Amino acid sequence: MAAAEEEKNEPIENAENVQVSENEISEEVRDYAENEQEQVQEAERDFDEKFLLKERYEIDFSNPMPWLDNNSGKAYAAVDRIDATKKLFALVCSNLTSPRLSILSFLKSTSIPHLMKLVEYGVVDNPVEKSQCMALIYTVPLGGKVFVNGVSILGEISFETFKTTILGFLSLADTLKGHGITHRAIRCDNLYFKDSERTEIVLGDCAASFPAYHQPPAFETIENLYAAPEARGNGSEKDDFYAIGVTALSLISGKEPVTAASAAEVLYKKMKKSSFLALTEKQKISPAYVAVLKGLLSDSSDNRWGYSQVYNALEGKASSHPSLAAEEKPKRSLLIGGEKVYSPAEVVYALYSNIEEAYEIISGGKITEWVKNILDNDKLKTKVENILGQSAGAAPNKDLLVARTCVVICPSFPIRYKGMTFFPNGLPKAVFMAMKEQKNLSLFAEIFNTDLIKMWYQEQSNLRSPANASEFRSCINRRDIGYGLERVIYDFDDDLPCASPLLGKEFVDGPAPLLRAINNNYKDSDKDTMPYDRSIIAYLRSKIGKKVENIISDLNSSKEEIKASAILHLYSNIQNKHGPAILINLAKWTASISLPIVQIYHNRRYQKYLERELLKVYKKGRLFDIINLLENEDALYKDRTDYAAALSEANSLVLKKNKYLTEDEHLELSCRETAIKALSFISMFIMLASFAYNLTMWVLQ
Amino acid sequence: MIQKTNKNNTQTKKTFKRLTRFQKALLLLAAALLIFSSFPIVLVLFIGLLPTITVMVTDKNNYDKQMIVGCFNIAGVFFYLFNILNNFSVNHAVSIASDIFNLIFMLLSAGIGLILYNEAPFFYASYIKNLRKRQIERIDERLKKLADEWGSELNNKHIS
Repeated sequence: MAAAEEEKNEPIENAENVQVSENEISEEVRDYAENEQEQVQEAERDFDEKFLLKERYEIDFSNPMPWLDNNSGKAYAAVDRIDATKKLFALVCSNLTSPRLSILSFLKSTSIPHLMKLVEYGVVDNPVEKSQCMALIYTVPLGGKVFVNGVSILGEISFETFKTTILGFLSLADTLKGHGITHRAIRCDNLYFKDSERTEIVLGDCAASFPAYHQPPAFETIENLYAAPEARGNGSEKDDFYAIGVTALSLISGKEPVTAASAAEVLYKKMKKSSFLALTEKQKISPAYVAVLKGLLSDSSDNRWGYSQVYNALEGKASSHPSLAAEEKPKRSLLIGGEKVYSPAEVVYALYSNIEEAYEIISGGKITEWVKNILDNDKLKTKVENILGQSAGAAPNKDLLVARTCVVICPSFPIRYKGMTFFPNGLPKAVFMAMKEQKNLSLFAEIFNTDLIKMWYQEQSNLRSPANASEFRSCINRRDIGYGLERVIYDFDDDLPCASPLLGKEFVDGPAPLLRAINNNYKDSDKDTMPYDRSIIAYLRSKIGKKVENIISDLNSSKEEIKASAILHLYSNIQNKHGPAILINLAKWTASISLPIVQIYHNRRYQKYLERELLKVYKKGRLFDIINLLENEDALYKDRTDYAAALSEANSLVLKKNKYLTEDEHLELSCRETAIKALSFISMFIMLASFAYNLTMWVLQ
Repeated sequence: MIQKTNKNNTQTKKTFKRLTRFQKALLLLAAALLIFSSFPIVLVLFIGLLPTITVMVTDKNNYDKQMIVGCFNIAGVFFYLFNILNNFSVNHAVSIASDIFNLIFMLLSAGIGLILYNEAPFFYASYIKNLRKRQIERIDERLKKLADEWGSELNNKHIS
């Protein structure tokens, strides 16, 4: 027992002679970090530019395969260490557009005909970009690409090959639909011959980037084309059917359609003429294919053909599917922006293109009249009237009124608000991209703060809004860390990696990679700041859940020591649970921001001791050791007790001193009085003594 | 105090005035007889207590001074007063009073009292001041040690 007490007291005793300045600490830390970095670089050089994925697949970054580059990803040769005969390549994704993380596990686990097989995926060091990126390992399509420079190498495709390919693609889209997935990268330059005999055409990667982000304008529906590429969302299988239709047309014609036209031109043409006419312009299509193409390229998603209709048509069976009948447009037009528009899609497009005029038309009641008289839709009329009624009392927000009206008039169209056109499920990716490009995010916050997303989902017949959509507005309006726009996008979209600038170019798809990325980017970070930001905390809250709610509330404290302690606990918990086991740079960073925790202790000698110990402990790279050192309950208790005693002693000393100082003013007078009194007694005593002495002497004589 | 003493003096004078002429004559006669019969003592006392008498005259209201000087003076005079009792004669009294060493002794005793009265309070105050100063220094030293160990806010906390 006594020995244990001695041990407890020992640090304080030892700390007496420790005098460590802050400069010394920072110098030592810097030296250590530089050595660490050099070791890592040497290790990288030793690896001869071959990087391992999941301890099995070697990626040879010195051997690029540019013909397999796809969806922002760069292709490199890859070798399976277990079975070197497999022809593999690695598609190393760009970190600017994140891969579709949520579908990777499914794609890896299944083998679907007409889809390039995803063998493995994982995060790998990318020496080219000097970062960590997601790498997707695919089997190499041995027959090469189907389209080279926009021209099919098949020339004129045989009917059988066409039939097999298109039905295979449609079957693939249906299979994916069964798992709630869309491909959204069906286009000419993503078609490959699976085998060297070129008998089977397969679709390439669909997961390396945002859905439909790299789709050429011809391959997207009118609605998708109108949305910003990054904000197109996952879409539905109908969008894949449409892209298959355009691919079918390309296979028939032997070339990619309208490659030179801009997205706006293609959109306008498709809207004015219909997709089929716009894409088959000046082309002779064999009558055998016309029905299929018309069915697949129908601009109405409800009328668009699927597998069974195409199969029937290719088998020569009669089809009663409505898309073949000419889609009826309202006969009376509405004049918007000097142009006559007929269909709801055209009206919405025109309204979005002329916001000022659209506001006048809507608030003037023309749209209500058009809905009532031309569309003859009372339910829609009531909705428009409700929107007008709701906006009557409030300050006019023209964009909001136009967007709300357009959402109810044509629910399949994307939302356009203050120049940003998006599908709600694509909005998080647009925010992510803006964050990566360090653009202003206020517009996105404004969008989430409106009820547009909620309204849009309410108008969809086959889509449900996210379960936590009701929390978006409250999240946006909270300025606390762990909330805000960042939290909304991570809650809304599972595909997104963490987009914090503190992570540099690293790809972060979970709590453990996040710690590793912070650790790796320590050198480029501002060491005076905390090792976290809003994005990181929002990401962790989204991925870990309510368990970290208490820590987040501590992070919002105004006290530095509470914040430092909270982040230390958060990262330590992650390290203990998910790894990595050693994080020297992060430990160093957290140690340097832990000075406010050190200052919780009142005893200066113990503070010095802790500072010195921190220098030793961080080198182990375990955050939990730092917590153990700094938040020792026994030491804290002893410090508080001793401090209370010292405070009490200081109080009494100060009181005593004050008393002395006050008394000093009258000291001379009181001393004089005392001295005189004393002298009086002494003199009297001397007199009596003299009397007694002389009397005694006289008597004795 | 002074007023009270004056009052007493006035009362004594009034009491003395109230006496009859006979009583006054009798009183004076008794006093004269007393002086005459103890003349050697009176002489030594008068000569020996001159410093005290001077202080009583010059510093009427300073009773502390009178007390201290007087006590010391009397303590010195006692040595010669008891000497007279052994040889009670005017000649002896005159020889004592005329001896310069005796005079010096008696006056010196009063002088010691006077010096002590003047200087002792000053020395005492200086001593006490030094003592206080050292005590305050010790307090400051301890407070500094506490501040070094626990931080300067320890003292500020008290002041605030």
